[in-house]
Amino acid sequence: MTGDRASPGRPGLLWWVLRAQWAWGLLPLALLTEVSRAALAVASASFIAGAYLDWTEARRDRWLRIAPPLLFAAVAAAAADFFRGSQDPLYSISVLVLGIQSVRFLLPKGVRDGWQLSAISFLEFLASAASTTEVQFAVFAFFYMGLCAGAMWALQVQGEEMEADPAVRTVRTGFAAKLLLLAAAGGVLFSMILFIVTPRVGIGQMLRNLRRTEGITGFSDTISLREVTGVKADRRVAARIEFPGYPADISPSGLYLRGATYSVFDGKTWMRPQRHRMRLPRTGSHYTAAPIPGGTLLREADVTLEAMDNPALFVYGTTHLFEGSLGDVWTEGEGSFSLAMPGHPPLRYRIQFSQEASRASVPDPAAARRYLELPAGWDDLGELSARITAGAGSDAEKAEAALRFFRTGFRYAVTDSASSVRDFLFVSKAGYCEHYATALALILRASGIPSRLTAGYMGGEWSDIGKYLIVRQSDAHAWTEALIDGKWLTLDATPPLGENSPFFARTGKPWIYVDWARQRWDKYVINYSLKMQAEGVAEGQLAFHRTRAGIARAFGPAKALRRHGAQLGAAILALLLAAAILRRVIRIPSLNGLTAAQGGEAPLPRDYAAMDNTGSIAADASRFLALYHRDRFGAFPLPPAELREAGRLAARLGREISR
Amino acid sequence: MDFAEARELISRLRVNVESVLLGKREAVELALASFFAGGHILLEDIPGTGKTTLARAIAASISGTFRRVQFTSDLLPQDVVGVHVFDADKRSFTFSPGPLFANIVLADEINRSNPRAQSALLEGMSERQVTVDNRTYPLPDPFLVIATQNPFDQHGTYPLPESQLDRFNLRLRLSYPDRVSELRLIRENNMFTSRDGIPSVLSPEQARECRSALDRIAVRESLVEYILRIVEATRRHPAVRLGASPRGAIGLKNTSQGLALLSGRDHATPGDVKRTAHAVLCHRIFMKGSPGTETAAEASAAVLSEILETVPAPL
Repeated sequence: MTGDRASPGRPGLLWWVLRAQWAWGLLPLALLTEVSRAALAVASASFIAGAYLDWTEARRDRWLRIAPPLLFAAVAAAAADFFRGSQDPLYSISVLVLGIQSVRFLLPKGVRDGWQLSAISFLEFLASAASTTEVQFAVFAFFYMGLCAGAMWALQVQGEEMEADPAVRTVRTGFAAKLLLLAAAGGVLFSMILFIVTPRVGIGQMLRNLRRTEGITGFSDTISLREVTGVKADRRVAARIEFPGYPADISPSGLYLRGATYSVFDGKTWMRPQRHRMRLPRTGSHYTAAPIPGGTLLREADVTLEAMDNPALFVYGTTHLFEGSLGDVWTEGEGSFSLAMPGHPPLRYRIQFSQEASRASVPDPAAARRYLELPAGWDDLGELSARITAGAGSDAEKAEAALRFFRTGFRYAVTDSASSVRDFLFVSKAGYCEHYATALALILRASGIPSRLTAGYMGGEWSDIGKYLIVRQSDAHAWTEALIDGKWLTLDATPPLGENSPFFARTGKPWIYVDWARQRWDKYVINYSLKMQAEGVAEGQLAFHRTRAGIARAFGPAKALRRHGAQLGAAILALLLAAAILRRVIRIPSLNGLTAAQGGEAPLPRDYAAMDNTGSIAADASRFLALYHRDRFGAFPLPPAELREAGRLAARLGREISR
Repeated sequence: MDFAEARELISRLRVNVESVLLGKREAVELALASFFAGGHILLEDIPGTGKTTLARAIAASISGTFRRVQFTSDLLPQDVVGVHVFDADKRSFTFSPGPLFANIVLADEINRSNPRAQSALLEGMSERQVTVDNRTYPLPDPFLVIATQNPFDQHGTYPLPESQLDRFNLRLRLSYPDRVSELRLIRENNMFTSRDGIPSVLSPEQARECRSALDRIAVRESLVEYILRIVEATRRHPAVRLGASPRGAIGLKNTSQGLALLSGRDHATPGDVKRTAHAVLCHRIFMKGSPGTETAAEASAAVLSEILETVPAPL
C-alpha cells in the first residue's frame, strides 16, 4: 500500500492485520508440517524485508525486472523438492507457493497485490490444513479466520479510498476487534462443521506421497536387548483407549496391550518366524478374529492408535472382533494382528475382547518344537531350570516356581542393565522387562513348557477427565506367554513399578486437559468414520424434527395441526423409515424401542404398557403398526379410509413421542 | 373354511397347548407355526423341560394319533417304519405298520441310535411315505415328527448328519420355564400327573384345512427377497462352511406364514421372518472348525444374529 503505485493512505491498524494474516499463513506451515525449512526461511526473510521496504517507502521501480528469474528459481526449487527433497506433491506445491509469495513480498504493493497475497496466504493455510490433524490447528484457524476478515476489510477500505470515495469511513478499534473475533469464531465453527460433514476421505491423503511415514518407531520384526533409556523417557502418546462398556469406576491400567509375538530366539534376538499369514475374514467393517465361545464376557475397547512405522494392531486379551476401516487385517495365529503394510496414519478401531486366556488350538509339531527351542550351547540353562522347578509337579507349579525365582536377587535396572541374557541370569542379575521376559521364557522352555515373548504396552495413564487410557511410549513392555493346560497364559516376571519409582511419571493436570482436548478433537472432528458421520447426521435430523414438532405444538393452533396431520404423518413415517435404515448401520439407543417394535410383530398392548405407562400411546402405536404392516406386507394396499386413520394415528404418535 | 374361522381355531389350539406348557409361549408358537407349515421339529434340550409334553399336547389337541419311538443304539429301521409279516391264514405277507404311522411321532433321543435307524426316518419326513420291500405306503396326514436330542451328553451318540438336520424345519430349545411358571408347575404337579387330560380342539380334518389357510397368507415380493438375502448371507459368511439350503429358505417363508396365521394376520411381516430365523436356520449353518459341538451351535447363532442385523429388512 505504501508503494509508489498506491495513493498515500493511512497505515492503519487494518493494514497491519493484513500483514499479520500473511505471517499467520506461514506459521502453521512452519510449526505443524514438514515443508522445506529453507523455503520457509526465504519466505520469512522476504516478508520482513518487504515490510521494512514498505515502511521506508523505498522506490523499487527496477525490481520488477528481476521478478521473472526469481519466479523461475521458485519453480526450480519446487521441482527439486519434489524429485530430490520431500518427494511429496503437497509439500512441493507449498514450496512453489512460498516462492511466489516471497517475490511478491519484495515488490511494491497496491491493493490488487494485497488481494493476491491474501489469496496466496489462504492457499498456504489450506496446505497446512490438508497435512495436519493436530488440535493446535484449531487455534491457528481461529486467529487466521479473524485475520482474513480483517485483511479483506482493509483491502476494501483501501480500494474505496483509492477510488476517492467521498464517504471514507473511519474505523473504530473496539468495534473492529469485536467484529474480527466474531468472524474468527464463526470461521472455526464453520470449518468444524465442514470437517464433520465432508466425507472422511482426507483431502491431504490424496495428494500425499503414501510411502512417507512420520510415525513413532518402536516395534519391529525383531526384538533385542538394547539401550532402552530413551524409550523409558519417551513421553509421546502411542495410543488412547476408551472402554465403552467398562464400569466408569475401574481404571484398566493393569491390562496388557499386545502388539507382536515373537517365538524364535537365537541367543541375542527374538524374531518372528517366517510363517504363513492369514487374512481375517471380514464383513463390511467387521473382522472376525476368533469365534466367540458361549458364556464369555466380552469387553469393548475403542483404540485410537497414533501414526506408527510398524503395522501391528494393538489389542487386549483374547480379541474376537475388530471394527473399523482397516483394510486387510492379518494374523499369524498367535493372537497378534497386523495391517497389510507397515506405516499408517492415526487409526481408530474398536475391539471386542475377553480377558480370559485363549484356548490354544493344538499347534503343529513344527510350531510346538519352535516354542521349546533353546539357542545352541545353552546347556547350563537346563540345570538352572531343573534346580528352580525342583519339586514342582504340574506345568502350572513349574511356572509359579520360575516366577518366584525372579522375585529375589534380581533388580530392575535400565541404565546399568546386563548385556546379555546369560549375563542377566548368572552374573549381574540386573535388567529390564526384556531381560526378565526372555529369561523366564528360556527357563520355561528348558523345563518343557512351550513359551514365547510378547511385546506391547502395559497399563498406561488413566485420564479421569476424559475417561480414557493414555498409553505412552514409556509404557512399552515385554512379557512372557506360556502354554499351560492348553491356554496361553500371560506371565510377567518383571517387578511392577511402584508409584515412587523414577520410571513412574505422572502428567500434570494442565497437560491432562490438553490431552483431553486433543483426544476429543481427534474423536469428533478429525478421526472418525463414515459410519459415525451417519450417526451424527441421524441425530441431527432427529433433533431437527423434534424441534419442528415442538414449535408446531407451541405455536400452531390445534386445528391447523389436524389439517396438516397427513403431512406430519408422512414426515414421521419418513423419519421412522430413515431411523430404521440407519439402525442397520448404527444403533441409536433412544430409537431402539421404536424400531424394534417396527421390525417385530405388531406389539401387544401389554408389552407396550410395560414400556410406557401411558396406555393410550401403546394402543395407538400397536394399531398404527398393524395398519402399516398391512399396507406394506398385506396382499393389498390399505383402503383409503384406513389410510386416513393411519395418517391420523401417525400424527398423534408423533406428538406423543416428541413430548 | 374361511380365514376368520381358521384364525379362531388356531388361537384355541394355541391356548390349549400353552395351558399345558407353561411359560413357553415363544417355543409353542414356533412349534405350532411349523406344524401348520408342515415342517418337522428338532427339540434340543436337557431332560425334563417338557419336550415330550409339547409333542403330546399338540397330538392331543388335534385328536390325532401319537406314537413315541425311543431311539437306542440297537434300534433297527423296521422298528421305526414297520415290517412285512407272513400271514398264515392268507398265505401272504401283510404289512404291520411301525410307530411312524401316526399323526404325531415323537422320536426321543434321536442321536442315540445308529445312522441306519436315523435314516429310516428320512424318507418318511420329506416324502411323507415309507417304502418297505419295494412297496410304498403313504403316511397319515397331518404328519409331524418331533425329534429330541440331548446336546449335553455326547458319549455313545451319533450326531445327526447335515443332510438329516436339513430335513428338520425347526430346531427349538425349551429352556427352563420362568420363575413364576416353574413355581406354578411345582405347586400343581406330582409325579403321576399326566397330560392326557387336555381336550382336543381340532380334528385332523380341520388341521388340514388350517394348513390350506396358511397357503393364503400373503408374502410380498419384498419379503421373499429379504428371505433370499438372509439365506445368501449365510452362504457367503466367511466363518461358515455350509450355509442354509433352499429348503431352509422355503421353511423360513412357510414358518413365517405360520406365525402370521397364529398372530391373526393375513400377511407375513419382516418381524415374523426375524422371529423364526433362528429356529429355522441355526441348525442349517455349519461353521468351519469342530462340527456338532455346543460352541459351534452358539457360533452359528451368533453368525445368524449378525446377519439379521446387517441384512436390511424391507420397510
